Amino acid sequence: MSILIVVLLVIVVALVFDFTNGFHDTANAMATSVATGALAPRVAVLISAVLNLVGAFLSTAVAKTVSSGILTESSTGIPHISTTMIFAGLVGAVLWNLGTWWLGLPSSSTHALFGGLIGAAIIGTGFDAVNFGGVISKILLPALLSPVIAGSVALVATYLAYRITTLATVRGSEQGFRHAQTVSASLVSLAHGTNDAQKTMGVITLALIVAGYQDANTGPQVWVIIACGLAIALGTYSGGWRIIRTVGKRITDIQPPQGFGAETSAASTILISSSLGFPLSTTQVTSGAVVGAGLGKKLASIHWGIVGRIAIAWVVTLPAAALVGGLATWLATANVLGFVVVIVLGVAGALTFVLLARRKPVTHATVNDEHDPDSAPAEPATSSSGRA
Amino acid sequence: MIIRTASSADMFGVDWGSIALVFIVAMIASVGIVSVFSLGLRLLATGEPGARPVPATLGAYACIGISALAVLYGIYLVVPQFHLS
Repeated sequence: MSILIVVLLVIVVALVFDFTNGFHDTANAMATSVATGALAPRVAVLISAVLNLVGAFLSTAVAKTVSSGILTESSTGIPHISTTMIFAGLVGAVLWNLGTWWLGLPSSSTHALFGGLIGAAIIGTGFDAVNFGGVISKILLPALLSPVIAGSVALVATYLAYRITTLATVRGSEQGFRHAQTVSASLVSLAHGTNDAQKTMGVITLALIVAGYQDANTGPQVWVIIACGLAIALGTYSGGWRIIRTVGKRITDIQPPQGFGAETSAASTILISSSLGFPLSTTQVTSGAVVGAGLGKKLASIHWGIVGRIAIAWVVTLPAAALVGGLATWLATANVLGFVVVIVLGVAGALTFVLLARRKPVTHATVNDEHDPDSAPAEPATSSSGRA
Repeated sequence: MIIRTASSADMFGVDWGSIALVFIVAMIASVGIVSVFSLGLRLLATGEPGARPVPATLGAYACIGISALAVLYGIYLVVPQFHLS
């Protein structure tokens, strides 16, 4: 199959992934602001979309190193991966992102992306293609640590916010916390844009390099930066309401002091970890901070069932995306027919999740409706750990 | 921010010193900002409505000003163009 066609398909699927990354992660920054009424849902996603777009143009440092340390590289600095494998890996990542969105679970898009690529590299090249030490130190352990770090910080911060304002009974404090929360959440959005859009840019650039259209160790082309920035911003604006509802209402019913505590803790944890050269996942930091903020008010108010389900999704994300990416590679590298089958199955799978989500839609109008997770039939608890 | 720990003991190839540093700095920064801003809100609400003592008003503005500076520093950290020499 012509390499040009494969590269074009990689670009299309990568941009679709970037779009799903956007609406998956709107919740990170804006769920608590939507939940407390600090921002109207439409306004929240608009602010987040604009800041993600701005963030995408601010820095392309991450894009250059997207796969370094995860995939092994040849002496010329090119990972042992083909464009077909990148395509298959992206299919795995997109399907997993859509599946967890349908379930309303805030899983890490970064894990889905790396999972898909790792699975593709293992099947396509062999276990040698993956640097497993790097996978543990750069992906798995940070994933375990970031929610704990952000959660403890948010717990203490929220507790103090309540203490100082005598349980937010002080006149004007609720309103004050709402304003401040909006500011912290905006910082989270901006930081997100400087990180996540870069990852898709990095993957497209990787495909261009592997295919020989671009020199190794060069940064993303301008059109790649623009396309990725727009894709993630559009995704963010379309609003992943299902996940926003989970983070803002179902983990715990977030109140303004908690929203302020959670977003401020998340923002400072993300910014500090990035500037110390140890970037942590936005998704995991914010989810952890929301749990911490819930605990900071009253221990009993956390819905541990939901937290457990999210934790399972985190653990499963990388292997599940790897499995889909690996299967897709196995099919796509066989022959042209296999490649076409992957395209057809990928599109069919994506449409299935979208149609499933349509049956019980969550929109900007209903995002704050459901308070009780245990009586909500929209969340099929039994299948939440299933494969995408 | 140019604080870096020397690559300390690395079990699983993880720089535990950096993680500890992230935790400590994030804790101090978050708790500091949240406390100062909450204190500002509390000071704004002292006295009868419309009759706030002047020291309370000044203190509240100082607290909110410090919080605003923290936000500006956050933006400084996010935008690499500001600190790449």
